[in-house]
Amino acid sequence: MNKREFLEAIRKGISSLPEEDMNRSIRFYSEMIDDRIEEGIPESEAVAAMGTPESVINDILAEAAPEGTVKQEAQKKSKGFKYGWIITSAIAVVLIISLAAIFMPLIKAGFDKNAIPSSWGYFSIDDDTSAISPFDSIRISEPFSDVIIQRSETEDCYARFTNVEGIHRFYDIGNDGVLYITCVDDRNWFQKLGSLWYGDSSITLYLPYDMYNELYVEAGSSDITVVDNLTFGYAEIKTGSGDIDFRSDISGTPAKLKSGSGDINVSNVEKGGFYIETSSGDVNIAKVYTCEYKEISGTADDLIGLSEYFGIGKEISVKTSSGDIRIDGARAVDILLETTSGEIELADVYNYVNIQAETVSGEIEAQNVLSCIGISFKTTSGDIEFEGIDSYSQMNLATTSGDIDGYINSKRYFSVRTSSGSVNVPANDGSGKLYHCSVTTVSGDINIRTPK
Amino acid sequence: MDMQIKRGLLDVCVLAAIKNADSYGYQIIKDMSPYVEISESTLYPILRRLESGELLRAYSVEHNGRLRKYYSITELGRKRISDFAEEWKQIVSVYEFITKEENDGE
Repeated sequence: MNKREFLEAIRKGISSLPEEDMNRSIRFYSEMIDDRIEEGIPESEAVAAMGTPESVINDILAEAAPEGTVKQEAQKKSKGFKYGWIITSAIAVVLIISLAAIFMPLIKAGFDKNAIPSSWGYFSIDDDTSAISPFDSIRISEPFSDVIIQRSETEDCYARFTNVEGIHRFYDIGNDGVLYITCVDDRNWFQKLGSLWYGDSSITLYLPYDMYNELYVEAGSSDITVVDNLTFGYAEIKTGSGDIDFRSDISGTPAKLKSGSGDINVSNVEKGGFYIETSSGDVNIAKVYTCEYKEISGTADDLIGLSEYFGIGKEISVKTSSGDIRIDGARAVDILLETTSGEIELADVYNYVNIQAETVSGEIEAQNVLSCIGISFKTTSGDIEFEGIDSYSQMNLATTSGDIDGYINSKRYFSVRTSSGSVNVPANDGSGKLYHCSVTTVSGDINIRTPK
Repeated sequence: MDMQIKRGLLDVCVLAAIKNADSYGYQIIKDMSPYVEISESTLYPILRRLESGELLRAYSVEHNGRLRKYYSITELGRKRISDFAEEWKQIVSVYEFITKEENDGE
């Protein structure tokens, strides 16, 4: 049996499933067979390795049955119960351990040398047990001051902070190789009132090495800054209402940056992806090259040869409700941008899979934006304006009442829909390679240019 | 092996296979094969389940003129692995409890 026959048999057997599920299954098995063939395994053997069509169909249907019907509502609730008591008890154990991990340093530090007298405003972090780095991860919980993390100019690890009466700071290095920096607020009400006049207070942690495993910072309402030249395996930065300024690399899974109402700025990144979320703040991304910087220009055809380069890249995802999103300089595998009332501005953005930008009432502006597989710009009442965008395949531009205006770097086969707006797009003359572009508006005008 | 236990184990194995670097279906099967045999039709629902539970994310990359789906572990996925290590300690202590009863012959 060859691949085509096999996939055809599967498709017939699972035709009762929703089309999306059906296609997804087919794509999966098709990829598995292709990967085997690519490795030199004959097609018939590669197909046989999947099992008989009947057994594959049964497996797909068996898995789809309970999920396809009840999944929608039940999924979230049932997840916790899926593994029964094992997971419940595991959660309890994990909870106890993590609580212990959080409070142990505090309790311990309360009694030993690590307690920092508030008059010093400085502590040096070292351990005398070995010559190697005493910790490889950092966890900072800071309800009060701004947090700054930067490279130490010497080989010393230390922290410096503004003194405020009633605020005590502790550090501890756990057995888990984590440096914990915690803060206890002992102020009474009039001290709290008094500290309103202290102005800005901050704690700066100076790190002696370039690379660390994980960084977790959680601040109440203050700002968090992570300065250049550091690399973290993973980072999670959260603040209630402060701003986040992140200028370091991430070598593993994309970092999470989250602020309630503050702005989030990410810049000068040579490695690593980001999931960024703020409700009312703006998000500015500048020079974020998830797979190192590369000068790229031309049409999306030029991107097709860069799968290796983008292969090590990561994704950038941004969500904000009322903030603007600005990207000036980015290389990524996947880019997803969402805002409700903010604007989206993109410049010098090169991406492999998809660039999706969505806003409800804001405008979308794009300049030199190339994506290999697809570009999708969507807004309800805002305009879409662009200069020099291109995609190797799909392109979707949609607005309800806004205008669409701009220049695309390669010829397109346009499908245009508008009710009351005027349309001005190049005719489909059938010459050269033509990629599809769907343009939709209800009342806006459409004016698109491409090369002749 | 009990189906529930095996299912939970395979979930974690798949996460472990993409823990250090993003990987794709066939590579995951190959990486797991020295430790545990897993077929395509077993892997597929696991990947879907892990993706819908946000333990991993999937993205497609063009490869030799076709699209290949890569899977990337999320923080939740990493947590699942470390939770599993904790669960395992629990299981071991339960196992000791079970076999202790037998040996005591009570």
